[in-house]
Amino acid sequence: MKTRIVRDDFREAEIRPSKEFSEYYRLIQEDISEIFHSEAGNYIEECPACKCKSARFYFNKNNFTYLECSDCSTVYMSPRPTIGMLHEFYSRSKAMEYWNSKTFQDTSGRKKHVFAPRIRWIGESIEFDEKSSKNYCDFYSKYNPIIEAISEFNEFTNKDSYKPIPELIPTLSKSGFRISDNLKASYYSVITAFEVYDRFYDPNSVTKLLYDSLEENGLLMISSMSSSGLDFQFMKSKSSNIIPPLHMNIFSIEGIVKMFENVGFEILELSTPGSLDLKILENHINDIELPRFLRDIILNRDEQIKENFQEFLQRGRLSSHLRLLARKK
Amino acid sequence: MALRFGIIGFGKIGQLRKKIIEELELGKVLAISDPNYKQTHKDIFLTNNYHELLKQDIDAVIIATPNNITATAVIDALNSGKHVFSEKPPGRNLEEVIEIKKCSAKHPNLKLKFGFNHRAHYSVMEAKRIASSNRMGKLMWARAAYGKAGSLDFKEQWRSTKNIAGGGILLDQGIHMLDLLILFFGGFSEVKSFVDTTYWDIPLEDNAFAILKNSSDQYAVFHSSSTQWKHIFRLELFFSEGYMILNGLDTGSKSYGRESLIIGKRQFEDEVELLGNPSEEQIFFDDDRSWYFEMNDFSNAIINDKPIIKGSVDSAVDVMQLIDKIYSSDNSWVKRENEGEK
Repeated sequence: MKTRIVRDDFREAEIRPSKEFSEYYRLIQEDISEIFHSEAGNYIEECPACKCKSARFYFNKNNFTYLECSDCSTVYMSPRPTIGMLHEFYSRSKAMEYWNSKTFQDTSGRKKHVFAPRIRWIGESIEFDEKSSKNYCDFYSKYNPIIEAISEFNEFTNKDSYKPIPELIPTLSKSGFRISDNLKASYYSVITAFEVYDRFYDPNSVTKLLYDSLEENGLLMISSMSSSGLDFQFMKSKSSNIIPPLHMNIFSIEGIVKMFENVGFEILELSTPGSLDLKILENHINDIELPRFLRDIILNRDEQIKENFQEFLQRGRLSSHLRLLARKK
Repeated sequence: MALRFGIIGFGKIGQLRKKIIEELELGKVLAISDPNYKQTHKDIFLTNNYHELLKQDIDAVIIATPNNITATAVIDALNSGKHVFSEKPPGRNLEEVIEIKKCSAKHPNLKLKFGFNHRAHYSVMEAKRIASSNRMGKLMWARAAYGKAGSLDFKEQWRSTKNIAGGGILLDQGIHMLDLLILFFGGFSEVKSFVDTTYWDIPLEDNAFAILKNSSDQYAVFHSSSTQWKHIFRLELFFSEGYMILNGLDTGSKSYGRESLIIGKRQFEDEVELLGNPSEEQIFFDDDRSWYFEMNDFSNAIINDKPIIKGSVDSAVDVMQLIDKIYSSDNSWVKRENEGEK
């Protein structure tokens, strides 16, 4: 298994512009009060990653409760809204409508620091062999820059988008993508699923579905948050990345490995190429409890020490955002 | 189909090959030939004469002998109707390897593979895949260094004995790096070099320096050393649109550093503050399955009658021709060799 280190220096505000994110959080609060006013929901009896039945309370956020698996330390929402409530949320949410607007997604900082590395990652991970036909699918497509970039990959004969957000449909049509509501069995050479795994009600079933949809040796590439990461471990409910009801699963490194291997995948790469852990903690230094040692690094050490520390986190898969590349065995 | 193997030369590498054959369940080792190996196993035919081994009912032979035996053993094995996997170097010199190729041509149904396992290291496979995608643009030049420190008994080893080894560090270890340069560049037509014995009291070179050029105006700077007191494996590949640096190698000794591939893109158009210091990604590889991939390839080629792609006799000739050019383009070295022969 390989690990990827990304040396890219930027600030949180470059990928999460504060004005836009403030508005997004405000709209989420409105959505929650309008849609999730009752406490109805389903209790989750086992860890969505490793299926362990034991968990402990981790934190509350916006009246949603998160537990931590006693075995793999994956953090997950329980109880979680019913499927019906989630459907209602995704169809009525003002926050989602705002988030999915093309202008907002395409900020230059996000293009450069989020999407460009991801596009490079896809290009560098595709196996080049003598096979002439390669079928690609982006699962729950929502990112314009990804679709535009993939449309220029001449390795793919067919390009599908599974249940994209409506705002993306014009780009998909222009880029030669087919829009799909179901996945063919043993058909795809490459499937990507970016920033969706933390939202699945039942990620195990989805993983199985994707496994079945891949041809032999087909590749699955995902990105998601990681509960093993430094900023998440200290920020917990104060993390601006954890937005209930969207984020129901924050996988630990151990948990996501178990989930994928249990389904039958071979994990080729597992990395946490985040650059922002220390910077996020620095931005919230007065809101959270930090050990004296870490506080000293953040407040008193020079940029080179901080860069080295962030690289150390990446090398140990201890940053708060993960990438996983898996192959169907 | 389970293959029946024989192993000629049962030292460290021969024993490793047996372990891999068994782990991958490719077949059974039924015969071993080694003058120093005394341990017997009731299911294994043991001999100190490899000609006796070649008379056994086996499909394939692994050859892991000192260099002076390799070429003869490969030819004898092919003439006995066996598929052959031979460790590197494929011979002590180009002439021996050309003889092997001639013999192999007479046996088109037999598979012959040489152990150039560096091609099957994860960092190399990843870099090759990216280079082949053309996303880095045109390969312009490379800088390659591969070296080790030798050891207390370096002088006494068979590797330091001219008539056994045939060549020094260039042939022993540098061959792997040259094989990788050929993998990325296709080959080289011009060579300028210095070959010398700078430290060790041995009749073979302990350092080789070369500048290589091909007809596409691509260049490589190459250094092979056995006076590299801190072990090094580093291959820098620079393309028109970016670069890849293979640094460190996952080996049994772990002395070459953690195997990694650094990937960077050219970044000077509108990035004043990043001029010459682009964002990079570095991939670390935590295991080495190269030996396993090699044996699997060999077994698959036999069972499914597929051609040998990596480690073919043609690639063995290519790399030996390059080594021959590096030796012969240093006039001082040629003169020393000629005087030694007198």
